[in-house]
Amino acid sequence: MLFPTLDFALFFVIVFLVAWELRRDMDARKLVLVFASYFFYGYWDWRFTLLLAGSSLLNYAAGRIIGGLNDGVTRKWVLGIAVALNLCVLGFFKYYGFFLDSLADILTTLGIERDLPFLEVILPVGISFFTFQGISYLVDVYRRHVGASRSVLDIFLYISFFPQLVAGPIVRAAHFLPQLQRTPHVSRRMASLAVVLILVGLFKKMVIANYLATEVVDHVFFDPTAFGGGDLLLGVYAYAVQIYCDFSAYSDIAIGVAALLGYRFPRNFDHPYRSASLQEFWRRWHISLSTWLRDYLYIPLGGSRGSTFKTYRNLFLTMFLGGIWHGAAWTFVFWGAFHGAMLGVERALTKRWEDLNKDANGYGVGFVAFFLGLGRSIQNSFATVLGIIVTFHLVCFAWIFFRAPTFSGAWDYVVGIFDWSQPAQFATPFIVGLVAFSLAGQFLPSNWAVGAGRVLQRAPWPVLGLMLGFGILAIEAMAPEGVAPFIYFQF
Amino acid sequence: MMEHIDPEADAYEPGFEMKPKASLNAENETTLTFKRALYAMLFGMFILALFHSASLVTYVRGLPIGPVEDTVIAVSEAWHEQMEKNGMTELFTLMDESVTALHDATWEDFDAFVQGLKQGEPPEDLRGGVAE
Repeated sequence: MLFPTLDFALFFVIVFLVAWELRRDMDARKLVLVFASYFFYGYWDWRFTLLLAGSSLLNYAAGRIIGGLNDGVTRKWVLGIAVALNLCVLGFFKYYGFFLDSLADILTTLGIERDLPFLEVILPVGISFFTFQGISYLVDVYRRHVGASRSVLDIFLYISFFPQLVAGPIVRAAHFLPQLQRTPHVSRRMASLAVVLILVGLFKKMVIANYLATEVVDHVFFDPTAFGGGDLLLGVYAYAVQIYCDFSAYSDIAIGVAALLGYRFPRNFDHPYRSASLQEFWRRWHISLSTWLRDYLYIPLGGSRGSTFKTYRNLFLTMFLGGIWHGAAWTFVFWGAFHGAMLGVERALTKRWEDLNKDANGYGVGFVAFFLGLGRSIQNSFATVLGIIVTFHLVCFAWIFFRAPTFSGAWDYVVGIFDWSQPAQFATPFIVGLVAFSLAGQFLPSNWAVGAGRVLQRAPWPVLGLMLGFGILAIEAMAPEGVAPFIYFQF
Repeated sequence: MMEHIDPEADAYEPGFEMKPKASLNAENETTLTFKRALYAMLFGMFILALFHSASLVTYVRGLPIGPVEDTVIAVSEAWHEQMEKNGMTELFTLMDESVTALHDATWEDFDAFVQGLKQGEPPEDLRGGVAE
């Protein structure tokens, strides 16, 4: 079931009504929400719900065992086995075909003919997200950040809760489970902010992302050799905007829908394209995944506590595995490795620059600025603008590999950007305006939606209804035909 | 005075448990917010049914075949006809056409629009027609 459909609207009104009617009976409410979540998930394919239930049961049982043990070594073993089982399930569905294809290629190269057990494995929607949530629960129990839940219903709801089930944000057990212990509460302010987030999310997905996808991105990435440098450059900028609007829209709507049901989700995007460094970019982009990778991968690997070499290695490995998480393809491998390598380069350069500044005069005043006689603020502003431009283009370069169907297709794209012999055919005022408008939106104040929600919270229900009705009407009128699935459903 | 109040909530008859004031306020606010959001959602859907009844017809035509579904389709089509007859659907058409005009505009149209604004002439819409 997709968010921007009448199916979902009807489904949500019913769930909203029943869930709040049952708010004094918490178990009944949870049961309804679990049932609704399974219905939502089973709408794609009912067989997926068996996998979801299996994953929930596995994590519930493992959590109980870990929570009941006192011996550190045994706890670690149980955690290791449970995490490995989670990853095996994920690995089978996501990487089975990829490994078999790669193995077949290697065998063919070596001149060996073998019948390999190829299977048509359908990737269950959102499998990565609920697997990561399961692992988050187990590790949090192991670290004693959260107690092992006695209620199987709580774990089923935590793993399957429909707003974030298929495309995040990845909600931590330590953040969500305590909310299930309290009587649900929704304030006027929460509901108003939820309406703002849902409308903004619908606009970003249905208008901006869908237009850019259907009018530019799909064409240029389908056959990059058929287009000139102008179109390809516009295409990659358009894709940067499309993937942001598509993915952040899902998060916005998920956060809004959960808030209307009385639950708080963490923020998942914070104007990522205004980042002046890659490190900052990863603090603003898909925050729930970045922090997940930091807490459950980078820090257990040793983080920045060891030698310089180990820090760079951990950084690279984290991003590399983050790339593979997105999918079984060499393009994703390159995307992760590129981000990992660039984060390492950036870290080394930043350190060198700071050392240089210290050596220059010992007061931390910029060496170049000191040399040119410029003020520190000018130097900082210049560095920030330059940092934003460079970071954005590095991210865009990596997006080419992320979006291209094959590695050779991505390479054709990169080469094609430098060929300006053909006129740009997609650079219409509408498309250029849409890209420029969306990028300009990155420089809005971070909490503008909260401010809008605060204004709206005083409005009586007819005003809120008018805003919802006419807001959706305007979005429908502006949007192109049809509803495309969200990009992150495939992960 | 205090010794007469049993701090254990279980000591009271069901329904007479003491609750902190903050909790009562939160519950009261939740009830009001729930009603506010529910009414707003229903009102929003009603607005969509009024001004964008075509999408309702498209939706119900996708329902499986059956006697109930046939009735729903017939009612939706009759509703849409009435909305069209009363001019309710024109707002959506107007918005749709405006976006199509923007979408189809060329750089020449855009230049002409900007020139018109600079010279203080009545702004033309992006398809070349003068806006009313």
